[in-house]
Amino acid sequence: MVEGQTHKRISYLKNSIFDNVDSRGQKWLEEKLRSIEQSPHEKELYMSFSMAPRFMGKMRLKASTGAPSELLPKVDISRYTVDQATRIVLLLQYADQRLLSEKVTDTLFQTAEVNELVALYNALPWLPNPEKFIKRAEEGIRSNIITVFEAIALHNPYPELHLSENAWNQMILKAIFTERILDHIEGLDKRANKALAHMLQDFAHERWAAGRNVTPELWRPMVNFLNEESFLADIEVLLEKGSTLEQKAAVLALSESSHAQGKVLLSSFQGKRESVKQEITWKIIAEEWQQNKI
Amino acid sequence: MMMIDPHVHMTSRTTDDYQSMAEAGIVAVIEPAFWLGQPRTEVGSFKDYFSSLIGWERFRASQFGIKHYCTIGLNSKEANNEALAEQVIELLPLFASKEGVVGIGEIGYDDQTAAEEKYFRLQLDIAKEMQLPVQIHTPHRNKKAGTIRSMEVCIEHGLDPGMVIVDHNNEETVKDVLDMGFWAAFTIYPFTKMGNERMVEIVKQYGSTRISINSAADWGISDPLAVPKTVALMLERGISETDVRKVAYENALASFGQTGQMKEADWLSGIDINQDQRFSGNSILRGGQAPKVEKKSSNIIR
Repeated sequence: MVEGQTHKRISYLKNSIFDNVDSRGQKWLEEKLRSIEQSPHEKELYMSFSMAPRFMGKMRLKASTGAPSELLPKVDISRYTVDQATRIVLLLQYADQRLLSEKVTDTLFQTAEVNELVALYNALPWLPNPEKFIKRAEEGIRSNIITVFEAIALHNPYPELHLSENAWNQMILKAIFTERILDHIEGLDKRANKALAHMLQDFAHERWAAGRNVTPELWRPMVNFLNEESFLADIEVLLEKGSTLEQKAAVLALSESSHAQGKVLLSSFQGKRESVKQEITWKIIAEEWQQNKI
Repeated sequence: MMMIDPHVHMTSRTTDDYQSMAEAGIVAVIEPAFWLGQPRTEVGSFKDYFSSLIGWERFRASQFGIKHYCTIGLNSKEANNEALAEQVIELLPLFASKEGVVGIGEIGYDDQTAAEEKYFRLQLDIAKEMQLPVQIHTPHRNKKAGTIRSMEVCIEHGLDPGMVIVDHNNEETVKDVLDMGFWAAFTIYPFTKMGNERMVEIVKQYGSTRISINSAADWGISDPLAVPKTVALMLERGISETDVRKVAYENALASFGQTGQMKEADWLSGIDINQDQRFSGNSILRGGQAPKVEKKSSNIIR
């Protein structure tokens, strides 16, 4: 951890929040930050953390740019609401005084209401020593409350950086199971692994056996493992029997794969079908799938 | 007609109940903290219970397009375990300050013991300090005296009667409650509390000012559709729509909405129930639907 990083994060977030609230909100936050610095009391942190939305509002944060990459990579704070950003800055201020003990974070997590949990999971990548919170992150992934799951799994750099392979794989499977958009998961391609590819395949087969379909995004983390015959066989099924969107996903998977046999399959298919030749990305596939669902 | 059930223990109910309630027009519920039938022996059980009221239960309700709020408190029965009660009281301010917590409740007397008295008073002070409304459970036994005593103690502690909702009223208590300036809530609960034919008569006699109805549905023989059924019966028996709306919607909002933690916009804007909130393929019902009370069964609750 770079010395003073937390301090810089606080000023960056505070300035962004100040651009979004009136003088009453600014005054409230300024006071809370000062009191944490000067006479920190646990109870005071819990209260201000809970009551932030009443004084700061819950509007979406307008921010011209994402966090500067040297401060925090891959976080777009314009996805936060003002109260979420406020809660993160309060935690950081407490951490900056070296007071964010395990006891304090345990209390925060154990007594959190839904929106507080969302803010806590968004806060994880900002906190010093983020590796201390791996168990918490895994707990968030197990949550039955979908907004809580989303807070840790989507648009959050934490899982990519800190989760074990098994926890990562469970998160991807749950995202598919709950019909989230995989494209919103940071590090989806980078953290792809063979065990996950097998889990995804099993899931697809199980669904096919039940006469259901699966998201075409499912094939994305399998791109680097198409040298396994059974995977390629599934791609072939998609090309032959799949929907147009599934065919697009299959074509994209094959064209991103370096596997020679896959290339042969791809060129023979492309000879037959003109319709899937146009520009296609995983993002477009994800969006079209969501459109079709609605 | 949009309705609010301002006293219902959804923790003890099934998803079928949520579905019927949403279909019948209930847009918001308030779940007071109470006892769970089995006495708790550890403070951690209370912590997890309070957490579930502001977490899981809130999400469960949202899946059906119902906005879920709660009141937090130590119920009178469990106040009699003093060692535990002390620890629960410590915990209360932490939860009472949370979003969507619209009051301290349900608190009051059960056996009217000294311990009940002590923790009732302590919680009134917390409510006053945090400027939260109070939801009062009035006792089954020695009801009239217990109800009047509850109100006197509130006044003694400097609470504004306009911030106190006195629950489980009946024909014998309503006049005193209204005369003293408190909100009078009625629980339509088969056998032990109010039947809804009696409720119709009360509204005919006392009007709709500061009167509200709820189901208090829980793990006992109770009816989560008590509010919509009573609405139907009131309309059928000639009570004006304006009065019915006050009793089944507006007064609950006016009394519990005083802290700004519960606003009509919360459900009029459609909660967070877009398609993207689907969970494991479960679709979500929308709030604000027209009342669709079951026709085959009777609307009368005795």
